[in-house]
Amino acid sequence: MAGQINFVRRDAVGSNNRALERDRFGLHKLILIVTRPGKLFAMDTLSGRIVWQRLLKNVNTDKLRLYVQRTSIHYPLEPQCTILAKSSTSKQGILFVFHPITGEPGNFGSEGYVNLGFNVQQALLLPQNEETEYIKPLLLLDESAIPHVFPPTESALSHVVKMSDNLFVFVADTKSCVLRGYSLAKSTADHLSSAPVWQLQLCSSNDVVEEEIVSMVSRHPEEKVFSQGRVLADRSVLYKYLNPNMVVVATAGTNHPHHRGYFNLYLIDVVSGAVVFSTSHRRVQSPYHVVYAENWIVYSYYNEKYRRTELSSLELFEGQTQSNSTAFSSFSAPQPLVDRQAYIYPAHITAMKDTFSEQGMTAKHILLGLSNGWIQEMPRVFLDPRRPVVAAATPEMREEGIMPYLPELPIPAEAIVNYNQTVFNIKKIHVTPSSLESTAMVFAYGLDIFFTHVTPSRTFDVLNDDFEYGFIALVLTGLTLASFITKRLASKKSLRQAWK
Amino acid sequence: MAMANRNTAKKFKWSIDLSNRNKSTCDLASPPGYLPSIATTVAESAKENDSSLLIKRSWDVALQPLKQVPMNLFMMYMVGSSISIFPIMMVGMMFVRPIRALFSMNQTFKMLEGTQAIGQILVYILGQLVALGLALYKCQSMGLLPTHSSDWLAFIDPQQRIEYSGGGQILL
Repeated sequence: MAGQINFVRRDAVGSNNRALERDRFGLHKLILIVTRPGKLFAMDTLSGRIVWQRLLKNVNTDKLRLYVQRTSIHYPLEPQCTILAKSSTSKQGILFVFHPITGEPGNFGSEGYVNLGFNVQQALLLPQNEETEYIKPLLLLDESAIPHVFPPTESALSHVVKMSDNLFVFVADTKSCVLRGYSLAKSTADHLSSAPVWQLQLCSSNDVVEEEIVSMVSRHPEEKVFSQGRVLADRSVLYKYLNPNMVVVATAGTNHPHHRGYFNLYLIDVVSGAVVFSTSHRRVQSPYHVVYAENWIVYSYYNEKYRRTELSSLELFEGQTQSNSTAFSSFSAPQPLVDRQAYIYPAHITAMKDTFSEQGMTAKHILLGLSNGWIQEMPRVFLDPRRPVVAAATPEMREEGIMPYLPELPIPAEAIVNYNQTVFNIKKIHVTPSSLESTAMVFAYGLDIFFTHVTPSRTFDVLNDDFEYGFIALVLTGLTLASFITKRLASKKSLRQAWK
Repeated sequence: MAMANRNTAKKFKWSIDLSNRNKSTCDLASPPGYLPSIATTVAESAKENDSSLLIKRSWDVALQPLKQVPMNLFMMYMVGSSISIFPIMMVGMMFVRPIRALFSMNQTFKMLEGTQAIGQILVYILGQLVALGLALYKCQSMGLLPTHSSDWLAFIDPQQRIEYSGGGQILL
């Protein structure tokens, strides 16, 4: 692996190839990797073997995006993946469509390459349905904000037009800190169009400060939230603020005369353009990492004043009642209550990611890639902003399952998921759920690549390795035998009694 | 045993069944001092007190559930409100007993005779309902009744999203 890995996605594995058999627990998948030189790899999760590889031709590999348009669940429909890149000659957008299992180019354009003929400003995958043959249509916004759909089929187009009233796209310029929101409400069946609906200037326009967007995180589109609230000690419910349109935008800059860094965090509703919450930290430095899942956010920064890495945690709640329990609209969203707390972390973080499971029932862990090559699994309860500052846990806290606040977070040796196999210079960690609710798959890359499974709530849906099948079978056969023998003995005894 | 003997009598021809002998064929003389006529007069005289006794006994039956209430209260206090096997068993018994009694009411009502039968029936039902109420109160104090919003949290469906959004860093 000479090149730098740019973007990684996985996809379920088809059943045609004998070596690539689908397993019952969804643990056998293909990792798709696009490297900086423009080479595409598919790696088997079970063996680490490279199943196929292909070099992308005539593309500029600066800003590659990989989209899984259809997974292999929809047999006999073929799975389909698309890479969005820029043409190396004209700078216009180019798509490469391929079959993720075999690596064969799709039946689009010339050998899978589709020249779009416009510069792509933004792209997003839309939800699939039966009408689009389970293809997630790719919505592309060109430089004059005119939307296009790929694949350009009738069904995909009508699908987009149908949902256009409630479809919003936002584009962020990281250098100038400008966010623009577009609505597709004016689209008609024969002409898609978008109109700007809001614009936000996050950074100060003052020349003495250099500020830019350092991180932008939205919730994983496939993440499911199992519980809609948290149960308190008095058995009432604190409902979670679950805004699917909220994006966490972090900006950082330096105040020039004093050379002091600062860090701002904004929670922005990208449909209405409203800033739901914002917070600021003074005298801090990069690296900044942000994780956002369900109704909570965890972010890390380096505190210049105390010279240590700190992890801050935010959690958003609607309150004791839900304003609307059936639907969430950004235009009538309630103002959330925000709990926050900060913790000291005794190591240097290079990457951060949350685990998630298929149904969202499993507890959440945060994976922290450290500069010494470790990947630590940190339970989210340690970063719970509801941890109160008390000397000892009260019975109410124990009932709720929260610990008293301790500023220092531990790094226990057993929480290092890669043991002694250190991964140097960890750039990013990717997580995908398996079909087993308890198990998530983790792929980390940097100088090395590393793949493992994590089970944040233990393997509650799998029998242990030391489960005694033999003993259970022995006991069961013994009991069956004993019941037959006692039946015989009982009949003998009753006969003997009859003779008395 | 009698059943068994009868069965064996059917099976084995040589066995002699002594229990099934016809009593009318008994022509033995009464033992000395036994006069069948006296026995009948005693029975007749007893019948005069019968109705008041019957009412008394019926009231005993009707008041029996209410008499158990103090006992139940004491047991509830002794058992405590922790969730473990003995309190749960006790609460289970507290529920099962009145419910079973209410289902087999017809048999109990046969025992309640006399002029005050309707009042007795009502008192009996009231007693069983009080016992049920006590059981419910115990459940409530142990936190076993789904009366809090958190008990229904698992059944709340996730909110439907109305708007769909996406986007990110500019790709130009």
